[in-house]
Amino acid sequence: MTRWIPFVLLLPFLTAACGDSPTSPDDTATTTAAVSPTVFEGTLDQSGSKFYSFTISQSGSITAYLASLTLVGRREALAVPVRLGVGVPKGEGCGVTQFVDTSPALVTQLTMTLGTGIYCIDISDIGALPGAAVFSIRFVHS
Amino acid sequence: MLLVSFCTISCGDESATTAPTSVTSPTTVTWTTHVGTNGSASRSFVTSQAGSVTVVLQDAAVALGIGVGVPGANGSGCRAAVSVTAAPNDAPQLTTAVEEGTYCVLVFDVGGIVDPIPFTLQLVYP
Repeated sequence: MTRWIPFVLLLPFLTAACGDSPTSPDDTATTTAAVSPTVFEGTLDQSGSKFYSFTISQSGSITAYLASLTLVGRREALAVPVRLGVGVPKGEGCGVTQFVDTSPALVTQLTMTLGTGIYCIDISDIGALPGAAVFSIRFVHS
Repeated sequence: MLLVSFCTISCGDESATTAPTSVTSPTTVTWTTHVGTNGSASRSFVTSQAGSVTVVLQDAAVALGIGVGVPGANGSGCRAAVSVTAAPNDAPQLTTAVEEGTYCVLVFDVGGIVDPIPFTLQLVYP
């Protein structure tokens, strides 16, 4: 019996040692908050274009996609390409510096690294629109 | 040896309480409601990761338009990115890739509805 005494005396220390390890905070752990996209909606006329200006206050990347394109008054998705671009405001328009010709999809279609400044996102008909169309663009800056 | 055994058991128990929450994906939703003449019905859903969305129109008296898209900027309605006209079937009629985010599924009359009809649609998303 007496030979167990040293083990009993050690138990409080042993318990503390085991308890501290798995519950200690992890200083390197980080969480990433989901960023809500900016929505740019409007009506695009045949041979027309529309743009939306925005300010970047911290350098990073922008991702964008054409989330919807439907003829005015219709619900069916319009699977024709239009030009989706990003650039800087120029005169009364948007001086596009990078673009993609694309039909609607729900994944990133355009990615661009931007420094601080004022930029614009632009959508324009490249000759495929059969009539005026309602569009919805989603973009995220991170 | 006794000490080693005690420590192993104790530490193992505490580690179990800090295990990461598991993510169940994909999610399957069966949706039944009505759509009227020239009408539409939509509901939104949130994907937890990138993947594919599939839509199956399981039951309807007539062919209907089905689409997947994004909610309108004011939060109402559903703007389609992709759509098809579908007759009831058990096979997926619409599949599209998505990223993590908020989307919507849309069902609409394509001219075949005289009086409001019920439909059942199955939606699977990541």
